[in-house]
Amino acid sequence: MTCSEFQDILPEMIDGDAVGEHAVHLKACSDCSELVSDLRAISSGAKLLCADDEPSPRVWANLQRTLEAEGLIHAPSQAGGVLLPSRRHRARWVWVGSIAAVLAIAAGLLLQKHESARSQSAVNQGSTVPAGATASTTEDGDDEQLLADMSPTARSIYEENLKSVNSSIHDAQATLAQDPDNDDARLFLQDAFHQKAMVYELAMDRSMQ
Amino acid sequence: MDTGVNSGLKKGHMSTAQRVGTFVVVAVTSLSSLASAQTKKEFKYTVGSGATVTIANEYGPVIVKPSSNNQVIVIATTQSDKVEVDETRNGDRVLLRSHLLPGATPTNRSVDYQVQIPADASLTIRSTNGPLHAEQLRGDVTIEGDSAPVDVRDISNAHVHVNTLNGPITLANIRFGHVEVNSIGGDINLLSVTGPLVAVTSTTGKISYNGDFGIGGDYKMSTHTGNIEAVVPADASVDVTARSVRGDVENDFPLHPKAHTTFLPQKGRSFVGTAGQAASSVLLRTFSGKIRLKKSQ
Repeated sequence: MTCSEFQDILPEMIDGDAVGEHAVHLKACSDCSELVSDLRAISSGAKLLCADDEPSPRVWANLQRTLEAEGLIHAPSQAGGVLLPSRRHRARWVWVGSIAAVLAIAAGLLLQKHESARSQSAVNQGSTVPAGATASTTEDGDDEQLLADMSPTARSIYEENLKSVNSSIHDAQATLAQDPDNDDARLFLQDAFHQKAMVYELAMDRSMQ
Repeated sequence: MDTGVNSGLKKGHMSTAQRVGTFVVVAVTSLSSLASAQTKKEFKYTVGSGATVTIANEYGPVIVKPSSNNQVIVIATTQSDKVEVDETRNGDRVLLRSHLLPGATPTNRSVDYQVQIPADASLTIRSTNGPLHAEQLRGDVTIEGDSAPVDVRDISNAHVHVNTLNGPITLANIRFGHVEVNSIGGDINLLSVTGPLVAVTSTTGKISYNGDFGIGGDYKMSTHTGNIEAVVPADASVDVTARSVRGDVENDFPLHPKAHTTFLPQKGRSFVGTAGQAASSVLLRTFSGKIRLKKSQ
């Protein structure tokens, strides 16, 4: 059996034991054996992560009652049915965390770029690209998704603050576009991304509550 | 004899008095029913040195003071039966969390937390609208609030981290602190705050510092569109750099010029200089706001 043939049945291998020729190959091939071992470790780690993040059934029951009271959903036809969050909904806050991380990384990259630009400014004049330009292109969609689940009051507060922070990002980007060697503007752009990451983190902490 | 006019006025007065009377009865009834809906609950935990206490209150104040012993004492007053307090205790980690129930509305969902913790415990508190207050502690303090006003005072030898959206922040008498403060739109007011690191960032808020910048600290204050004002005593020992990309800078504090700078100061937009032994480094930055360094009277 080749490694390629073995890897066709990898998904079954993660939660079960290899039998027959698969078991023989697994024993003989160190590459495949290592791969299966890694996948099993990731799989069991992911299961632990899900268990940690899963709120108690009582939380979902309360959520269900609230949504029913507000007429947003109807009681399930089966007795004893409990609302469970859709994978999509749970994924939303994981996604918010990811955006916050991306923003923080963007700020970090700006700093790195800043350091590098400083050291090479003599030979590199005019070639520095405002690094934040691409990072901001998706901001409106991300922000809308962030605000989508919020109550009107919270939405208004977060909307106002995102507006401020986006404005500061654009402000610094515009200055950098005119003067790519403006170190101050680059640092302010970095700060602005950090601030935006903080807004996303606060939103995520709030949602966890 | 009653004239028609007097009689009408009398009737009018009676009617007003009756309305006032009815209002008072309704108000008293409402207040007493509100008072009866409030529930005060006390939680007590005995913890070891360096315990961790977290209070996550979605709506309402959290006030934290030191306890005289190794106890965490929490008095939580719920505004109604539409909100409850969940507690978790794992070893020296204590978590109390407000938990909204169906029917919770802006008028009945808040919880008032009055908390006492050992002075060396680490504290994390969070509320959407606050206010949030911590004082006289020696453990790390982490505070998060959306629009919550934050007030932290009399803290020593600890990390103090505060994040808000537009909640104003006041830090007072923080000694030997590792201080990190971020707010998007809330004004930040620092009074006698010193330590090895004091980093303050805002987007639109104003930053005010009143104190001597201590000895050997690294102070960074940055706001995008807000103003920065630092009021410093004449005997402060500082190495100051102030820069505004588009705004103005103003200096009323006597500084000695520096022989070497990392940039060329631009009159009206930036200044650098030292005072005393230049023990602490102070960086004041704003993109389009104004910076003012003043000598305290």
